[in-house]
Amino acid sequence: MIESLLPTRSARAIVGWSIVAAILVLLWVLVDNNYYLRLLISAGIAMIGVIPFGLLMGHMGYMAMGQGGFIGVGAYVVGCLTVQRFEIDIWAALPIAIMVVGALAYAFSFALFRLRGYHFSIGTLALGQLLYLAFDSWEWATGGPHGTSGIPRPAIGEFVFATNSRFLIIVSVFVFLAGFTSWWLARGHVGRALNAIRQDEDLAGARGLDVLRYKQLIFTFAAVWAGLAGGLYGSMQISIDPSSFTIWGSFQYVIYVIIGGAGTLLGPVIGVIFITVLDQLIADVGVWNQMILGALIVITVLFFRGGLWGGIRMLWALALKNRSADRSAVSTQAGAAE
Amino acid sequence: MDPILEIRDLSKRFGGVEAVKAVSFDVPRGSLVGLIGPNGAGKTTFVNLVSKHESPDTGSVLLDKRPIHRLPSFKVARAGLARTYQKNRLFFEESVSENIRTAMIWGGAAKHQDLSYPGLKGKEEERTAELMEFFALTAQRDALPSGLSHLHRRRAEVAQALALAPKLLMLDEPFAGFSREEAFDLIDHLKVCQKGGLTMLLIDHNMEVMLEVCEYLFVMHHGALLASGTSAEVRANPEVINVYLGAET
Amino acid sequence: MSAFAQQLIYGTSYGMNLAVAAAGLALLFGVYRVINLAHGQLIMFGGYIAYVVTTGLGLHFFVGFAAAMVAMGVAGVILEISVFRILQRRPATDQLLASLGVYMMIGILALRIWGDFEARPINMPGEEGAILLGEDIRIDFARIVTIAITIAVFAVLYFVVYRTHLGRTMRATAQGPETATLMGIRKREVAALVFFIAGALGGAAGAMLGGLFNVRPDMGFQPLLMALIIIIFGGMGSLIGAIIAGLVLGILYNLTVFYVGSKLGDLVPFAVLLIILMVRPQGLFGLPGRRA
Repeated sequence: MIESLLPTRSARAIVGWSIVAAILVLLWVLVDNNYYLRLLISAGIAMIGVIPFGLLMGHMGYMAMGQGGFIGVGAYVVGCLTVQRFEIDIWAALPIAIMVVGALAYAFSFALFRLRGYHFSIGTLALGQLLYLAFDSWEWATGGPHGTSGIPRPAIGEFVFATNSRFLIIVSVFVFLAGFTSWWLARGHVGRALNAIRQDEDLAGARGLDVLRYKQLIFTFAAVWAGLAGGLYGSMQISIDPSSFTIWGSFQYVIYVIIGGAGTLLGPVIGVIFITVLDQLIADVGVWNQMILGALIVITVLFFRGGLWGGIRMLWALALKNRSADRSAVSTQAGAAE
Repeated sequence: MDPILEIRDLSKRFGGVEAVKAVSFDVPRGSLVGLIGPNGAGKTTFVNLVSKHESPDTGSVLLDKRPIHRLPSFKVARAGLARTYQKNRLFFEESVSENIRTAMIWGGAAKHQDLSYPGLKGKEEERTAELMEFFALTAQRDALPSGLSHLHRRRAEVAQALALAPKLLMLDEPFAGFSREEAFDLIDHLKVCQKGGLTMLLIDHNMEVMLEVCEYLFVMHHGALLASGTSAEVRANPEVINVYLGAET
Repeated sequence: MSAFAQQLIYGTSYGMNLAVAAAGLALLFGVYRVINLAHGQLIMFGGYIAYVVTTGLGLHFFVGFAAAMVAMGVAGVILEISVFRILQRRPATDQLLASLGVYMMIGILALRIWGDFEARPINMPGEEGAILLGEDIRIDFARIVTIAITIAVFAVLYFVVYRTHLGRTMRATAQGPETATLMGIRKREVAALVFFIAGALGGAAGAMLGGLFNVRPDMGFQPLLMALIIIIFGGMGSLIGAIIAGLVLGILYNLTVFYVGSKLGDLVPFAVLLIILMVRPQGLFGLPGRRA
């Protein structure tokens, strides 16, 4: 039915990602509570960074462990431009932050993609840690260990997105854009290339694919969105310090993707939702929650490689199969009755 | 002689081991030549150097007078040099027809007027269908590589390599795991392509089949070129006999 | 000049401790192509076990040291059986991810058991004593003890890897599972032993690092990062490479911290790593052309 209403795939994708964004916005109507609103914004910001990251880790199979560094660069560039050293409008600062992160990621991608598998993961881990240490020591731009405070919320004319409910609107728009651009990249030629790189990149090269270019494209793409997520995070938090951009931030992205389901676009979204809800449910058990999360990762990797989204799709397929089995059973009975 | 591939002083060193030592030879256009040698002679490393899966330390490779040893592997493939692998390699999540089509998409519109083997004319779908028909893979078009027999998988690999519309095809151990009949079945297909203008370099250590099939042979031993000649010449070469007898005992 | 010599010695002792930490990782990678992030927490727990045995029970440091090695060796075996054995044929990233999960699980244990981030000291032999060389080069006995232990550990490790049947089997396994099967090796026993040795090396590193710098719940993180850098620097899987890279990194770290400042000292290993990756991705002693 949906197919007949929306004839083209891109129309369906636009609608699909709009629904994800709209759900986020609508939840604000339901929750009239600042605490939950902040949770929603955090989840939205995580989605902005992690959906494109899913292309890199899931589709292409390159597990980067340094996204936290790019998030931080995005946040600090915005912080530096809007309050720390300059007083530029945040709408101008965000694009500059994106360009800085993109240029940085592209420059490092030459070195990082000389590496594969483990080596790549550890290389990105080192880059993430290097950036974290830079945030901590380059006081001129970042404010050092004390960080930057007073990052403004964006405004359109007189309308300032000052309250959390208003800020959620901006975040939702970017969630839509992150989801849509990722979908747009994952289909067609780029998607084919990413899947081939994951399966056998040497063979892909021998069959004429410019493997390095695609790897650099996706790495930069994921970094740019992480940078934007960082910029929005800074604006949400108003003040930032290096402790928000440690290696745990990088691991968090990896965890969202693996728990939600690697290799799919919706998997990371579901991962973010699941972990956010889980964090609330197990908040009472205090520090043990890290243990539960760790156990979940181990169990997922060991036994449910498809993650939550893979599980949902499997159940869905099973249900469809049962229904068609029921139908065929009914029709055979009917046939026998005749 | 009009060489399509000219190899000059190709060398590669891994740590302390010289895997390929100053190898030079020419491959004549339109020929079916063989590269033989006992296991560990450096044959696969040599193929990897020519296809740029690994970079040579020194030396040059010219394809149709054009240097390709500085190009990345995908440009070598687009320049018209395709290869297959010793171990079966296809995109394991994609069907046979998708595997073949993929190479067509990436290979670009590499059209060579002087070539006329199957799978060169028409649109992608027609080319794919023609290649699958030629290799009798039509029934397997939607099968995944893991569901194919060894014979069909090897054929699919060759079909995928041919989908690039290459001038020169290097086959690394194409007869591994094949019976004599299966090997000659593949050779019959390859000979059809040869008539269509394809040049082929076969790499194998199956002396018996290679001596029978190849018009001209190069023999590698310990990374260096030991001998070359027609199969009769190679068969009579005392050094080659020595190497092969030595390898067997 | 004397300050330089002093830092050189301190760097050597720190570097040797790091080399022990890295050797466990290098061994696992060399034989099974596995990177075990949980190794960082084995280091941390090794430190706590040494702390309990020496400071808590009042026994000699060497007893605590041995206890840490044995306990973490057993922990390594448990990890092998419960996680890595199942993941044998999976892609590299799966094993990395699973070990990250284990890292998180174990990481919280020490914090729960001891309840805080307080640094706890381990009683080392010759805690107060020091040797004075010349005018003002001072070497603590504790440093000398750890250097001596490291040399002993590496001597034993060298003997095991290059002079015993187990070592030959391990090296055969590293050549490829096929070779190992041809040699008629019983894989499970070998795997258990390799993971035992790797875990024990982690425990040893933890006991020594704990002895020099006190024990904390988060003490495993820094050595883990350093160890990862060391095994890339030294060539993945190369034990000798790990020792040399550990020493170089330890000395470099101490010199930078002393002459430039602690923040830049922290930066140095990562900068070095990125430069190495660009210039020589296979590391100093690694074999090129090998797929990770």
